[in-house]
Amino acid sequence: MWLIPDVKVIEKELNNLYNEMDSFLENKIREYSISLLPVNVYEDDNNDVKVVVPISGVDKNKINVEYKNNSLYIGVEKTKDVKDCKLLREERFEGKLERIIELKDIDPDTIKANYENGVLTITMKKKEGLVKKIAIE
Amino acid sequence: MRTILPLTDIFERENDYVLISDVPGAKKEGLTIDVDKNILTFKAEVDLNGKKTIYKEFEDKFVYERSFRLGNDINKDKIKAKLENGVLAIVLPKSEEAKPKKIKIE
Repeated sequence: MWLIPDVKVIEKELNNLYNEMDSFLENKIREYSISLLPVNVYEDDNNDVKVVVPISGVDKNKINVEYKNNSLYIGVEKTKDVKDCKLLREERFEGKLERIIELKDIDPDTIKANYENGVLTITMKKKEGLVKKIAIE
Repeated sequence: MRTILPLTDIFERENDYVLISDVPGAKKEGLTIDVDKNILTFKAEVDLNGKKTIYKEFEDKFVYERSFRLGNDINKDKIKAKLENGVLAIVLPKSEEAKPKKIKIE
């Protein structure tokens, strides 16, 4: 006797498979973009937060930094300006990259961005009142 | 210190070759380019370290280093380099013999 599975079961299995493939690809893409636009976060003496993103050869006007929903959004577009030459080797990336980093308890009015030597540095202050020193009795 | 191999594009133009490398964080000071025999090597020390690390995805103290073997058709005395926005461009002029020649038709 053959056990024929319900069509709905097959459909469900297929959907699961598709979803798995999707999330696998999504993760791969995310890993790849992280390797292209990596981020370090530091804190300095004044408890200010500093986000450092190395990304060379970008036009300042093509850097977009936004803060919304407790997250810092960084978008850059890297273009290569070469014409009329014969390409012998190509390794450098060209195109759009973006990162979203969750950074809670930041004062959005204090966010400053600076692009120098191919490094994007974003500094910001933490919300006042968050750093409290508790005296030990 | 960790060594990072910068990604590089290489182009050929009529009178020269151009190497373009991504070296974010590299500054003029601390960048060296030398040609020894037929090997061109550039090196740059980079320090992007902050006071206290909270979250880290990339090495913040490292050396960029990469070498290229030059062909015999390059005029080694006239190599030029420019560093801008973390992009290093090295121009390698072709030697006179290697440049394309236009023959005048009489």
